[in-house]
Amino acid sequence: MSGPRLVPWMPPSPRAFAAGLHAAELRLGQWIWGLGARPLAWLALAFALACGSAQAQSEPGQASIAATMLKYLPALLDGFAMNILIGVLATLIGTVTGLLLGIGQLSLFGPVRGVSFLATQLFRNTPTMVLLFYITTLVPTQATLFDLEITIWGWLKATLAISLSTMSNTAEVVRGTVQTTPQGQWDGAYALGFSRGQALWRVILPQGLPLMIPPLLGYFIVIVMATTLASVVGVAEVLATARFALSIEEGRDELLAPMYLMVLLLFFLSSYAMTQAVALLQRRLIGRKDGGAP
Amino acid sequence: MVTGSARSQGEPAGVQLRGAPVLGRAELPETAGRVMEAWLGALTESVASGFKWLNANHGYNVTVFYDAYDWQRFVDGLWVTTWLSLVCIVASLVIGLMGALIDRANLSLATAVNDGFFSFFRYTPPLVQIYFVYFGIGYLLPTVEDGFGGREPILGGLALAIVALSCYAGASNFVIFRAAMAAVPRAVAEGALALGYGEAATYRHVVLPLALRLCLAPLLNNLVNLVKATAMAFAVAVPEVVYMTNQIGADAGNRAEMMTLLLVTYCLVVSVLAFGVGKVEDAMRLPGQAA
Repeated sequence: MSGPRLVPWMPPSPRAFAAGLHAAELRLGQWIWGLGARPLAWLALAFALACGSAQAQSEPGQASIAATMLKYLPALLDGFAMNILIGVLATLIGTVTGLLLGIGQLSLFGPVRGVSFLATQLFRNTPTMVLLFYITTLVPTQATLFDLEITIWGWLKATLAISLSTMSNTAEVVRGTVQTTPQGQWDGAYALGFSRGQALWRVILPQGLPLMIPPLLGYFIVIVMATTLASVVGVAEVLATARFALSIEEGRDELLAPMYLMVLLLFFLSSYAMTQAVALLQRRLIGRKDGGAP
Repeated sequence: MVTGSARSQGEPAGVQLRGAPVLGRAELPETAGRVMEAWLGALTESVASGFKWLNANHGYNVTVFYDAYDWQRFVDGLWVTTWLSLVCIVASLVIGLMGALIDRANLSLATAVNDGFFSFFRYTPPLVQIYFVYFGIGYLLPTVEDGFGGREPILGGLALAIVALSCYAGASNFVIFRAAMAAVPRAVAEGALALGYGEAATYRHVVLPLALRLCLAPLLNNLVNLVKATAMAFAVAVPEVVYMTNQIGADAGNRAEMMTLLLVTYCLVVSVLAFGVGKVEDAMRLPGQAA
């Protein structure tokens, strides 16, 4: 019954803040090395090695590997912005619809429960790649809505596919969280005269939602990584941009490893930073040092 | 029935029932086989005619169910997916376990390399990993004669996709194994040592069995995810089911139907897997462990 309790975050007193700052200064170097910099150092080393070996293989008279990489970096960053855009949109759409679907699975009305369950299973048990192919094939590119011609771009279809995947996973998280809420909370709410819907919105979900935030933020990283799948259906995101850049530099096979490694580096940097931030948030949100791990 | 015919040369083999004629060993399965073949034939025929009718009357053209060649391609694709999944599951388990044991050994340099390797595969997208391994590393590999006068890399798309996917899933397995080993109380291992178990025997008989049951749920979920992730091998032209379905769709011009078939196939297969995994989890749950 003793689930992780929520402790509201309070600004520390000046003294505690100063003491914390001092301790933080002492441990900063250690912390950066231990958590942030070590894998990054490895990746930077691998990138440097790849560039170096590629340089050794390249023919004389061509632009150096480093210069070529630098030339395509802005384009890659543009592509990466597309990944983030699709990722953020899919997360927003998927979380909201997933919340509804998760609640739908708990409905006392059979048909709603059944449809919610089937929808969750369908989208959860299908690879995002397959969903993406399905939607790109079956959703028309041109549609008429109230006499209005609208174009459904490839990236919108990709967003839709990834949203569906996100939705089903969120639904499972919501269902699990609500179902693990102690029965006493429901009983207490009913005793106070709440209806089932009121109990859910006013008592159960307010307790569960903050606990869902860290796993959902962690899932955001997975979603952003899944957006690279959009490249196989022709969306101009970072992987497609890298492939396009490689096709411009045709014949320079030594560029392959550094180019893909650069894409990996972009994802690594953002995912790793995000993971650390989520872990920090989780320690803040849940008053336990281990972040409420079972 | 190779064994049956080989044996029947030496001895008068047969099933002698009282009052019944001697039934040759080879005949019984043969008859059953013929009956089954007839049934399967009838089934195939009726399914085929059903889908032909669907195509003729509703324009819903699922060639796979009435065209023998497309059916063969689809089954080949499924077979490659199955095979790819199994190999990747075994390899990812080995990779994850090795990583967790290295991590546990607490050697500073080995741990640093280990952490770097697994962080790399955890925090980067699997599709880019596949491209990187296929193009980046595949390019550096030595080449061999391809039998047509040219040269080809020593490892093809399938092998390199296996490498990339195994490392990707292995990274998650590593984290799961590491957490599970940390969750086994130190006193249990110490107790085993006190009873005279060696270091290796303690792991083999005490720590690993307990850790395995602790981490079974996330581990099996990750392996189901790996089965889903094998769809990405399509990107480097591994002839698995997504690739084959796309091929059939392009050849027969029925992409929409093929994509639906692919969606349904994956959903069914993974649902069955997920259901089985749930059953195994229930059966293997440690007494007293939370659901």
